[in-house]
Amino acid sequence: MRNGSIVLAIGAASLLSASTAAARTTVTIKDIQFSKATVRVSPGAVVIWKDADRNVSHNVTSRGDDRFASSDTLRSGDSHRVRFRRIGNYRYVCTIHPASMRARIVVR
Amino acid sequence: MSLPNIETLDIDGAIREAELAVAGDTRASFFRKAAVGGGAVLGSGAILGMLPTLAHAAPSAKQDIAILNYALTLEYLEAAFYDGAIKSGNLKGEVKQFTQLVLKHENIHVKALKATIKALNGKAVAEPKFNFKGTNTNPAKFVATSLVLENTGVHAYLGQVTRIQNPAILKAAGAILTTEARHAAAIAAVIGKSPFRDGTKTSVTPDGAFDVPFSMKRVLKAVGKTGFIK
Repeated sequence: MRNGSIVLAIGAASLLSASTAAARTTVTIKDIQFSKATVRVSPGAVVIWKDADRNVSHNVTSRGDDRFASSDTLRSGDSHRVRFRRIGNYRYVCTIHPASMRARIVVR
Repeated sequence: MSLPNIETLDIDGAIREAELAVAGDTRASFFRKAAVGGGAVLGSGAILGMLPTLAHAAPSAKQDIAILNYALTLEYLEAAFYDGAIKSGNLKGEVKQFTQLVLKHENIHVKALKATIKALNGKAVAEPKFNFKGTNTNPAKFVATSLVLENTGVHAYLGQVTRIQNPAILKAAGAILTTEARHAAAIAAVIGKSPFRDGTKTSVTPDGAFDVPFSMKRVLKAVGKTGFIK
C-alpha cells in the first residue's frame, strides 16, 4: 500500500512537471525573424519572447481582434512574457519589421 | 588584388601633384598665407583646422578622374556587397526590399561613373575581388554592415565636394551623395536602434545637423581595415 502511494505520488509529480513544462513556450527573435510562425498552447500558458538579435531592435505588438500586452522596444537580451488565459487567435508583428516578422499564438 | 591606395586611384598623379605643391611651402610661410588669406590673425588651432582643405585645394581635370575612380571603387564594393546579400537568399521582408532597391542604385552608380571616366578620356580602375566574410549573408550582420557602408559613402562623397573642378561632376557627385544618405537613413530605420536621436551610430543622423566629410586617405584606411577587398 505504501509502495503504491509512492508510485502514485511520483506519477502525479511527473504529470505536474510535464504540465508545467508544456505551459511555457519560448519564441526566439533572431536574424530578423520570430522562431515560430505559429505557437499552439492551452489556456493559462505562458509565452516568452527572447530577443537574440545583436544588431537590430524589435518589438512584439499585438494585432487583430484578440489582443494581449505588447512589448516595449526589445534589444538583444531582453524578453517579453505574456500569460494567455483565454481561448483565441492572437496575431502579432514587430512594427519595425512588419513585412518579415508576423506570427500568431493560438490558444485552444 | 590588393586594396587600392591613393597611388592606384590617382592614375594621372593629380593628387600627388597637389600634395607636393603644399609640401613645397615651408610651415612658416604656409601659416602666413593662411592668416593673410583669412583677413585676420588666426590662432594656430584655427589655421591647422584649415590644413586639410588647403592641402587639397587644387582642383584639376586629372584630379577629377582620380576622384571618380575613388568613387567607383566604393560603388564596386557596395554593389558587390548587396549582390551577394540577395544571392544568399537569406534576406526577407523589408530588408530584402531595401537591398533590391539599393543594389539597383549602386549598379547604376557604377555604370555612370565608368561612363563618365571614359567620356573624360580617363581609365577606370578594375573591379577588385571582395570577401565580405559573411557580413552580407547573415541578416543581422548585414544590416549593421550596410549602415556602416552607406554612411562611409556619405562621408566619402562629402569629403570630395571642394576638390572637384568640373561642375557637371560636382552635380553628379551631389546627386549620388544624397542618395547614399537616403540609403543610410533607410537602413538605420530598419535597424531601429535609436534611429531618431542625433549622434548615435545607428541614428538616421549620426553626425547631427551636419554630416562630417572624410578625406580619401581616411576612407581608404577604414575600408582597408574591414579586409573586404582581397
